[in-house]
Amino acid sequence: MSERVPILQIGDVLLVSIQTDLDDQAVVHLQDDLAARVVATEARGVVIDITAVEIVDSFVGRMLATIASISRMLDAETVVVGMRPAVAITLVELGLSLGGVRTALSLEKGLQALERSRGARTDPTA
Amino acid sequence: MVKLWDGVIAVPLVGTLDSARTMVVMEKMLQALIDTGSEQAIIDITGVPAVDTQVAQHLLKTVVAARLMGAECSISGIRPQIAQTIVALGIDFGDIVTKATLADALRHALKRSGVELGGRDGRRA
Repeated sequence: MSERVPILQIGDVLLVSIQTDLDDQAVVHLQDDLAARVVATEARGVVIDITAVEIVDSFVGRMLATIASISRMLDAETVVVGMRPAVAITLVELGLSLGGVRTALSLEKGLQALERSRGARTDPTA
Repeated sequence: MVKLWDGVIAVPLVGTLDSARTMVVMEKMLQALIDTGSEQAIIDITGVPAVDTQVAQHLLKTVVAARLMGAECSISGIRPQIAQTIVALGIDFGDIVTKATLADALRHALKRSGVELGGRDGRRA
């Protein structure tokens, strides 16, 4: 049985910090767990930190997009942060542009982006 | 890699681009985005004599990779002949921002990063 990726809650944002290279089983578990947690905590945002991820394949790349779509269905916006150059190049070579997934350079910038878009959503004058 | 402003880097390309060289540029630029924490990048191709389908493909890949990392990348310095070539080759740059001059691209990048420009610059921005 593969390790489960921990999902942490900070306010109304869920933080998924992926610390190891993911195998397929772990990604499927993450998808299940995250969907359940978003509903249980009524989270408004999800930040997936992939700073430590060095290797991705097409399955993991597609799952990132799927997870983002699932979260959006549950009204939580997803930001993928900390993607390494090598990972970005790999995904591009695989033909995955992750359309619809928001990205940010660092965790800090990802949280700022979430805050901005939430401000824009709740404040019609913004 | 040239730092133009806080959070804006430029990559002036000079000379013919081939696959190997473009890969190096791509990796260096993406690493520079992380090292400097920049959210805007400009690839300036003023010094590139010709653009073929392969070079265009590499440029597109670089821009998409930068987007994946959470940065925005625009392409500047497209000369009239190159614009004609790209259109004639049927290459679609999609929603990628392209500007004629580096100045235009910098103005765009500053606007996107929320810098207020005053005076005559502001009028064109």
